[in-house]
Amino acid sequence: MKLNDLLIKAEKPARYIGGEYGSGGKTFKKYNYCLCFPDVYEVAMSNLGIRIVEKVMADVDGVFVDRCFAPWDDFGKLLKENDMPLYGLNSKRPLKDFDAIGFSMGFELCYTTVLYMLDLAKIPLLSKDRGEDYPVIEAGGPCTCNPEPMSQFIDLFILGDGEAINDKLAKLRMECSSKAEYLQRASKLQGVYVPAFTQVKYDDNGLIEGFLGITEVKKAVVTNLDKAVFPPVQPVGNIEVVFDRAIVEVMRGCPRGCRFCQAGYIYRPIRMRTPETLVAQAKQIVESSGFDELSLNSLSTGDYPCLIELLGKLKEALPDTKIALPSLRIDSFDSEFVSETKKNSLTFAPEAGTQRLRDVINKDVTEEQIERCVLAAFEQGYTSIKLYFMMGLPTETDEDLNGIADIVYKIREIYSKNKKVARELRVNVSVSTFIPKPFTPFQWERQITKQEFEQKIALLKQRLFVKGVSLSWNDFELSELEAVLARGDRRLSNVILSAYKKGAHLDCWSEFFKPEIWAEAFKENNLTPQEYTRQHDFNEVLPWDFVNVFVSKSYLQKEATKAYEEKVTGSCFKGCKGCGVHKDFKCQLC
Amino acid sequence: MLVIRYSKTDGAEYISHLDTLRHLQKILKRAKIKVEYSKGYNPHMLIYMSAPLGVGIKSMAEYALIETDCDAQEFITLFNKFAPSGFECITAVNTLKKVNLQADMNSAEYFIGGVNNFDVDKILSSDTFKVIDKKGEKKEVRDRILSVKTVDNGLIATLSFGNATLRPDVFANKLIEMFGGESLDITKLNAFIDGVKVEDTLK
Repeated sequence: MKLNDLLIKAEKPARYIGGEYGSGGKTFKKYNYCLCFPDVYEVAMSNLGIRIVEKVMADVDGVFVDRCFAPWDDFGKLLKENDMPLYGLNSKRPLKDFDAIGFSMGFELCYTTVLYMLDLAKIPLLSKDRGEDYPVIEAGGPCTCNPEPMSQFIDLFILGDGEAINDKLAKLRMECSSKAEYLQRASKLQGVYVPAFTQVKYDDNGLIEGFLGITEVKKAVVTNLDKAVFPPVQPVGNIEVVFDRAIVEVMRGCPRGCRFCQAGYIYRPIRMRTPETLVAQAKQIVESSGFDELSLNSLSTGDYPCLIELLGKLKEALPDTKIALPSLRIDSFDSEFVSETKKNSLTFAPEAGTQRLRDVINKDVTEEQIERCVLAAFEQGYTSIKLYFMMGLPTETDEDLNGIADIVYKIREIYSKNKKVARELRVNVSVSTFIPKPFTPFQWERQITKQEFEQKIALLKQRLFVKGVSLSWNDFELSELEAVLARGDRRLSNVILSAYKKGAHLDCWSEFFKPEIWAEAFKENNLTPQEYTRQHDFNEVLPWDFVNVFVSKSYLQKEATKAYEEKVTGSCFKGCKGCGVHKDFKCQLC
Repeated sequence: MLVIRYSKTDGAEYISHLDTLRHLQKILKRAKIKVEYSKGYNPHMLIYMSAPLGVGIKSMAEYALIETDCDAQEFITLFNKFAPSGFECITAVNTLKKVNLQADMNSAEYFIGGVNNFDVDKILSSDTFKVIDKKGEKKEVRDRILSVKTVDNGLIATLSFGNATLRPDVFANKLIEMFGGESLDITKLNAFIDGVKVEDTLK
């Protein structure tokens, strides 16, 4: 069987051919690295992280970088049935031929997909089963701030900002005569975690007593974002991808510190690019790619202090390019932006229904700001609003859920008084279950049970059964699994392996997620999801405690205590809050 | 106006018609070639493509009409500099002659590899050739087979294209069913307006 015979049978063969404009070469060099993204082409091609890593590595002499994404189920089956190993998109060489493979893990539910890709590549799944002949399997990305659940599969984790260290690792690998030597020497670099060199000690109750071997791993940090490498060419997808546009990264880190938000803590310190750098990068990318749209990315672009200046300069430099501002916050939204980026639908995330609960989670947004913001939008002619909320947050009661409905009613009322067009307002309310994540003030919190989940959804359904309002929510089991994997320890590798062997893969796609498989996998390994979703004690050793993201554990505890006291901490831009990062780095606070 | 002939090989044959249009737009943008835009609510580049080619069929003869004043020779250089892997502009002709690529093109010549050797007269001397088309309907298409000859490693066939199309993959799969074979390899070699290569009709 030739590849062409399989491609012709695939649903979207253009996912598997590579060769995108701007995607690099096809031939092997001295050191060959394949960047893998454990999701389908359309999602993977929208990811900025792997583009940055690709650029950093490809700039090193003697390094060839290829890419490989998870095949959709149909093509995965075709590869397997025809005994054809998964290959790098540009080189068409089997993954096994590469010196190293790097997975970007941005979402816990991609873990089985990592195994799916290794398996399709005919690479043994467990680190211990791969000798010198197999490529080094590396992983980075936000999920790896707690690397433990994947520690039996991955040889080397890159924690923190990959671009600070990827080039060093590539050079080091070329110097080393064996994989063993490479892992040994790499483990001494800041940002590298080699699970084989750290042991975990458990007590009789299955709780962690401590770590042996290498007991602290600091994340890698790019101190100067303005001067950091940024890909000047962004490949254009062979098929339309999720974000079919040019991306510049305005800011890394977020000043807000919402207490549920992992990204808000693990990406500290706050670093920015200057408007001049951003305009130059944007111009280069738009011109070299041909995209019509440019996205200004960060965790909270509305907080970027020079946004107005930047928008003005971009308009001048790129008059025909549409500018997208994702992640706008309610309080940073004003009519100036609305008219700049006019669309029909507006998305906001109040996250909680009452002021009390918004104070608990440190979502520094008031009822009045929400009202002012929707008013501004309606005056601009918006007719559709999407609202994101969480449920199952710490201290939440029915009153807070009723508050969600009250906000929706209030918005409808504002619309009927201020509407500019005859169309009826559409409100989409999207509710997701709170997932406690490592390195947040809520890392010790419990997740709600299925019974609580059902009660809460029932209440919301009853209150929001209104014409023009649609309510959507995530599967409980999916959120539960995400919580388990996020706060998991090493023992979970066995569960992930069992689940994969029973057929779990592409779990983040609801059509493939099968809760019963996971239930069996837990049982088989004598573990329960509840051990991971339970309330944790402040004094417990947490599985990820050996990772240092520079935010101190005592600060997180302090923030958790403040949450119970319903006290807001507020934005870092209003003064340093002493989270610990300031001891090693300087946050750019304006 | 500019009529261009470009190829889709080396993987690009798996890029669908609509995505091919997206690619053409992006190539033109990257190359900074000035193209007229429609004047509607959502302005788009004025590019008119020849009829869709089945996914997986390579081509040396895809055509597009582009509303631009760009010089043909300059266009070829720019296009090829900014095209993704597998797309190559082969010919370009500046023309004032109105041509409707979709409607006027009525036959195309293909190389077909992967069918076991057989006597082509068996088809040409018969007055019937029935295929199951992509919709699953049985169709008589003998009049859409204009010529078939044997060459090294395969066949060269000229088939109707446009309004009364016979898809080369449908044709070839039927041949495999009749005479055996595997691993189809099809390349569109030329496209014609009333038997004349498209670019030659513009001179």
